[in-house]
Amino acid sequence: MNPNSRSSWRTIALILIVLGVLALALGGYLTSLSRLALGAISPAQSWLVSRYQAFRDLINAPDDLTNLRQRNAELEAEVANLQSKIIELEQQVAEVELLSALLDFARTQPQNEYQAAAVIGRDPSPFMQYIIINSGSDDGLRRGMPVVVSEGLVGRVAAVTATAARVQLIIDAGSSVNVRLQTAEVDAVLVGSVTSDISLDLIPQDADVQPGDLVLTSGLGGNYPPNILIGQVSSVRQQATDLFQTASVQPVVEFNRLEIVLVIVNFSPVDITPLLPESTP
Amino acid sequence: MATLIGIVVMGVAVILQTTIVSQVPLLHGPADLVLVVLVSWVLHREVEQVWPIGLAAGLLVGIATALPLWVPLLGYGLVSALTGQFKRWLWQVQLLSLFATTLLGSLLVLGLSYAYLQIAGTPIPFGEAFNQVVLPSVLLNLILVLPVYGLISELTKLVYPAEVEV
Repeated sequence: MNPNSRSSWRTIALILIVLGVLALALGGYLTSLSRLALGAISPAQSWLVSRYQAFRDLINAPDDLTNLRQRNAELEAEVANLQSKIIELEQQVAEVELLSALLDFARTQPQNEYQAAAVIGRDPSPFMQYIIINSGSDDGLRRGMPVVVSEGLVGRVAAVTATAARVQLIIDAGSSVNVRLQTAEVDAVLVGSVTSDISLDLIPQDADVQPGDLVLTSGLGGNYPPNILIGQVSSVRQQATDLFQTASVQPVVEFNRLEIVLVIVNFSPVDITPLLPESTP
Repeated sequence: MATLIGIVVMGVAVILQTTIVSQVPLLHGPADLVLVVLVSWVLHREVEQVWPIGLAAGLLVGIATALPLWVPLLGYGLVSALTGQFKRWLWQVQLLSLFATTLLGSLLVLGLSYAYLQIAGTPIPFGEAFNQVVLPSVLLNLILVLPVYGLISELTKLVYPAEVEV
């Protein structure tokens, strides 16, 4: 046989084998075989790749570590910055909510003119329940003006300087407010105490006072405008031997959380001292 | 100069008292930071001028409080004088002086305020005032005086540098 023709036959046979294998592969007859082959190869591949990656990490580690540390520091700084911004925004939200409540309150009382003021301090003496606010005579504040928040009555201005004022809270032991019990429709006097509790005094014995009754300013005496909410009666004490009933009052204002207050600047207290009968010697 | 720094320290104490310390009471008695700082300052051996610091403390508190000016002025003035005396009597037992003057000073200042309010006609029952205000306040002062004394000691070292023999 001619060597050339032998070579041609070999080539044709190879092509036929390749085509046959391809046809078998395309027909899906070699899947199990290929799976078997891959099953043997893939663990070796995994092992080799993991060793390669470990080696690559070892080579690149110092550079990456520096970058990571730098990035970590940047991110920590950013987190701290964002946290401080969150705190700032939370404070602003709280302030806006407070001002919004005060604005709503002011809108419901159109007859009054208000001057908003921030609480900047408290009386250093534990016997005195006073606050110091950052508005004074320059802002139109005068002695005796009532001070309120959206919840109710806070107190009244006791002393004024050009830029600050001192407010006597209704919980002060020296404070007394003429009040009216809404349900019972009787007048009484609200007094403070050294323990910041407020109570009602001079309630007539025949008055039907119940826990839950609302306590409002009566306007008598001219020190406060009428109908400002103070609180609710929490308990009543009535003894047959006493001239008057007394009652404890739960105030609506949280006096230890005062931040911003409203001063009613168009209210002038009435001085009734000349009208009071002089004490005879 | 040292007295001037002492007065500034008292000013800082009054600001802290009105803004923070007054709002952290035990029952109804907060600590008296001004008194504690005053006692801690005056007790130091190097401090010779006792009265100006006491009067400055009284004056500053008198501006901030609703009590008449003479009440804190007299109270803190007497506390500074009392502390000065204790410094002389018990100069070897400074810790004893510190606690004794804090205790007596607290009772003096609170007692004077209470007496004024009683005379002025403010109805404050004695038992309630003593249990709810005076005792907690004195206790807080006694707790606070040691760390404040440590801080004031560091400050006085800067204000009164130790003499060096040449």
